[in-house]
Amino acid sequence: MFIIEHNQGFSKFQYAVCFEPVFWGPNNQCGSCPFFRLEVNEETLPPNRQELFQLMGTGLHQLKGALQMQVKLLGIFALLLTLTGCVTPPQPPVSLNAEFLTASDNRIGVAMDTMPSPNLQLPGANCLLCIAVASGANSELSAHAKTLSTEELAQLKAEVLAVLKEQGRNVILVDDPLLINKLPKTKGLGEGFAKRDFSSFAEQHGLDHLLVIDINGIGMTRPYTSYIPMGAPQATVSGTAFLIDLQSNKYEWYLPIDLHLGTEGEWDEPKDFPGLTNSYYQVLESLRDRVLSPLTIQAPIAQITE
Amino acid sequence: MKIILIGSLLVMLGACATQEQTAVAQQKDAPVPLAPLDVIDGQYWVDLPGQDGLTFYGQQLSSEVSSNGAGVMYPGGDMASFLVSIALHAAIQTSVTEAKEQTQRDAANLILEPYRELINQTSLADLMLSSEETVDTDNGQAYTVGLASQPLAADGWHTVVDPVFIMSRSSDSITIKSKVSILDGRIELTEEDLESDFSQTIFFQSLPIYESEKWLRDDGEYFRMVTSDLLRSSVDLAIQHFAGLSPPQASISSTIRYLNNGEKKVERGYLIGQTCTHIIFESLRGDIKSVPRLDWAGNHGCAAVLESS
Repeated sequence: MFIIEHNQGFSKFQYAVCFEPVFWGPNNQCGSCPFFRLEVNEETLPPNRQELFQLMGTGLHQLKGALQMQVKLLGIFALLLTLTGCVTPPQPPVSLNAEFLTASDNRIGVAMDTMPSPNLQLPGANCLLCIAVASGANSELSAHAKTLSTEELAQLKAEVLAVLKEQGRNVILVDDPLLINKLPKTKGLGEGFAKRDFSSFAEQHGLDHLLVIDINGIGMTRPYTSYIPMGAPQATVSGTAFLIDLQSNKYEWYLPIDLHLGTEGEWDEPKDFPGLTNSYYQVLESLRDRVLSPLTIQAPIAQITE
Repeated sequence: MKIILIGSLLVMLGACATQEQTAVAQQKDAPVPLAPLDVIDGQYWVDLPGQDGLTFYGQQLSSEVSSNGAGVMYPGGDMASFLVSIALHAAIQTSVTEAKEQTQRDAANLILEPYRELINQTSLADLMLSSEETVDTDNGQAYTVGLASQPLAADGWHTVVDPVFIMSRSSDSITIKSKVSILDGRIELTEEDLESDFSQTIFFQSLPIYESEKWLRDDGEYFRMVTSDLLRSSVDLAIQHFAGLSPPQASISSTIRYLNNGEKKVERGYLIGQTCTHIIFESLRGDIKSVPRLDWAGNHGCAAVLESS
């Protein structure tokens, strides 16, 4: 309901239109009306009632527009609230639990999720034409990226197994493809816990813990803004490595991986791109070191405490 | 009439004689194929043109693996301002990059300060043996290496060496980067020949030391010994590669891990061979590298070999 008020209590006349009673101000006035206020002073006060009502009609028309705008803004605000509510905050890194290394009776499985094929990513080339232009400009590099070997990464699972075995851990290889995205979701566990339920591996393989290497991006990347390259390509690998308690789905170790490396010297050396290829294998080695070193370095501490 | 006939006969005979002479001249200019020089059991004359002193640099640090990608956001209110901002960024970036590279070079060369006098006192020719030396390879073959004299002897392979030395950032080792070109010494050379014949860049890195003062001890004796050894080793590696005396390199590339500046360094390449101290491989860019093994210090068999040598 709209209230139209003619207030003569101040130095100037005020004709205000407000919602009632929500924005009704103190002393029964429209002082706090946030939407719309039509103000006239003594000089601009219409000389007769007809013109005053015309003026108020204009005011009401403006009020309608203002209200429509407010409704739109409220709608956008509500949508943003909904969307941000849906976004899950990323899992922060979790240091390797030292108890894991000292508990020698734990049975640990080592698994690797299905690895994507190496390729060239062109982030920032978003429109269809941009993608076509960027892909055409980098076709040789893209073809080369597809020929890169992932054998080094495939061996990482066996290397992790060997490192843990050296420390006297009861460890087995889980050869089944993990298909993490097809595992059932966990509910309400929050930060520090997996979003998927890995407990089925406990029964299937008789495990207490599962160490997972999950690679979700590998190859080269070159940033774009629409049609324009924003820098030289880089070798890249991304994913996670984590150790999970299969009873509680709690992370005992969580290592996010997002590694990049440019070339030493020239990068544009088709068709074998030796500089970038070298960087690619250096990135894989860096990933290997980051996964193996926490397991390796802490081993002597575990031996001492035992 | 008779006179005219005799005159024309003489002209014809003269023309024929000239043609014959031309044919003879062509035969004289035609290249006579030389018997190929022996590559194995051959004589290699090392030539160090245009260098008296040592060219020395400090090692520049290579970029490290980072956890975030590179990218730049440009203001893009309209196409014109967007393109202007890119052009401006490119111009600024070029000068910034150049300045940054120069700063990095200067910073890298600071490591040479304690050795500057020693470097200036050392002559490149002194690092090569002036007398000829016969080198026996592991597979029972041999060849002879000597420092080339002026004028160049024409009885062997003209081995042109262009070396640069690089002191590691922690002063623990020296690497030589030698561009070695090997040409038939019997043929007078042009600049084009140097480009078109056998040419190979060799990197040879010395074993690390744990006290950098060792380079300066005994008036730089160890420094001279190592740099001399690096120069000769790089030449040997090039000759052996040229003569086919190196072991066949692996057909598939692999990840090579070695010691550099006190840390593990990783490079992709084709493995050629290993000694107890060094790994030899061909890099993806085609350079041949001989670098210290990661485990050389803990290799007990290796320690025994080093002690006996």
